[in-house]
Amino acid sequence: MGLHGMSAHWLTGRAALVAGEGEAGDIVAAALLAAGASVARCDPAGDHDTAAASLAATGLPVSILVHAGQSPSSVPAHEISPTSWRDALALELDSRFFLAAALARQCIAQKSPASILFLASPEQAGGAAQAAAGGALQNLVKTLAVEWARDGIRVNAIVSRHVPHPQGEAQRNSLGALAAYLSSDYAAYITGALMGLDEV
Amino acid sequence: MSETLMVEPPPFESPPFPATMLAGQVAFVTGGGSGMGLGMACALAQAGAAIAVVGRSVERAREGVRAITATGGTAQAVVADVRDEAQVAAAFDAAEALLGPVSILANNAGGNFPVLAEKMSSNAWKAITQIAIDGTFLCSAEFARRRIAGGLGGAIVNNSAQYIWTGFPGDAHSAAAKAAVAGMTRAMARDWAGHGIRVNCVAAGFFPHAASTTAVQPEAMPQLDAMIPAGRTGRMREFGWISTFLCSPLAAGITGEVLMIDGAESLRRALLSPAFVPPRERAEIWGYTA
Repeated sequence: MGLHGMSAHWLTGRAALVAGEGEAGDIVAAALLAAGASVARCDPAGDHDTAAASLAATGLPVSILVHAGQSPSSVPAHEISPTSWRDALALELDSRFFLAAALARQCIAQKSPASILFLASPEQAGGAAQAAAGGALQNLVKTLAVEWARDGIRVNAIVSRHVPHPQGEAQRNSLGALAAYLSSDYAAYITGALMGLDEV
Repeated sequence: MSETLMVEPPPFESPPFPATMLAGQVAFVTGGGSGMGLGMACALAQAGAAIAVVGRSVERAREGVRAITATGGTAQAVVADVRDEAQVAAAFDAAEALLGPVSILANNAGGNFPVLAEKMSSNAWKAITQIAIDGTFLCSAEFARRRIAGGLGGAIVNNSAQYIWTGFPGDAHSAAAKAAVAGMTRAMARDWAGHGIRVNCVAAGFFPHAASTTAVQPEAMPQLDAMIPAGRTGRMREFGWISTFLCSPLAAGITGEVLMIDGAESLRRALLSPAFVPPRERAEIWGYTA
């Protein structure tokens, strides 16, 4: 049995939205699909007003959200233009929050459970924008997990320096398997957790 | 008050992993006779691993073996005090003679009880810290020497606790011990990465079992459930399954990690909380009321 065969029933009947392009988003989307979920993709960018539309555009009853973010930039702080600073924070932090909140509003209204998973680089993986967004995201995960705990909405993150580009087949498989597991009811008691891959 | 939407994991009979996932593997589970160790052992057995149930008490180890075989698993009882290097080596020999080469190690052996730090006896401090810290070290080092000598990889999972990031008043021995286990996890993962030995850790919240506080005071259960953001305490099977995941080929790219599973218990905060009561003035040391 291949690795994907081991997880084939974890997400049967569930619908997932994976925001973000790039290797991590592709790997996780494939793993969710292999675990039995319907999977839609969307642009990682978005604000308060477009987030609900991104969910609606899937045409699916989304109960799993994965936001893959983007690779961090390492431009020295004094050379970051105000525009690229704001763009980086909008994508790496704001859009993650707006999509998560839009899904939570929908699921709270429908009294249906959900799982939200952020894929992110650690604070030290890039420059000042990454440090700000990474630190913010980690504490956001812990905060949202508690706010939505009684609504059956779990919030976790895979925070790893390997997220933008997993190293080797084992790590690619494990990123997908961990994301699928954390999105499933087998992980019903895991919320507010920050998990890495291999940071040693 | 609004209703809680509580999500339960699938029942034990619907596990995440195929029954053949760990076929041919042998797992050495310290403290496997009861409690969380038995939870890990049952989940590893369910995924196909043969289990060496290791403990100081042969009776308790045999009880664990009976529980595992009752669910269709394979297990043998092995007696050892994990604080004794010679007993650890002998236990590995015994496990390998009974079941074959040990390829998975689950360090669960540990104990805990509430006690004020200034009233803690030397024996209490040494028992709790050395079973967890020295026991995890001695078993892990013995496991690694054998796997490295054979040119084989392996997987270790350690049982830590959700209070390793905050400490826990009335629990100086266990707070220190469990944080040491998490620290060791990262160091050993680094030491043995080149040998294909992965080392991970689960930082668990409250998972009631026959030997835990709630078994003594079942009336405390609703209060515990209400206290936790997720609306309930943990189910032993979900603790066992995530531990098994970390030892499985699915986690081949994961090492040096500490995974928290506590229903957000440790993250609960409020600007206003009940007045602080020093542990020595509480009705119960781990409780909060005077």
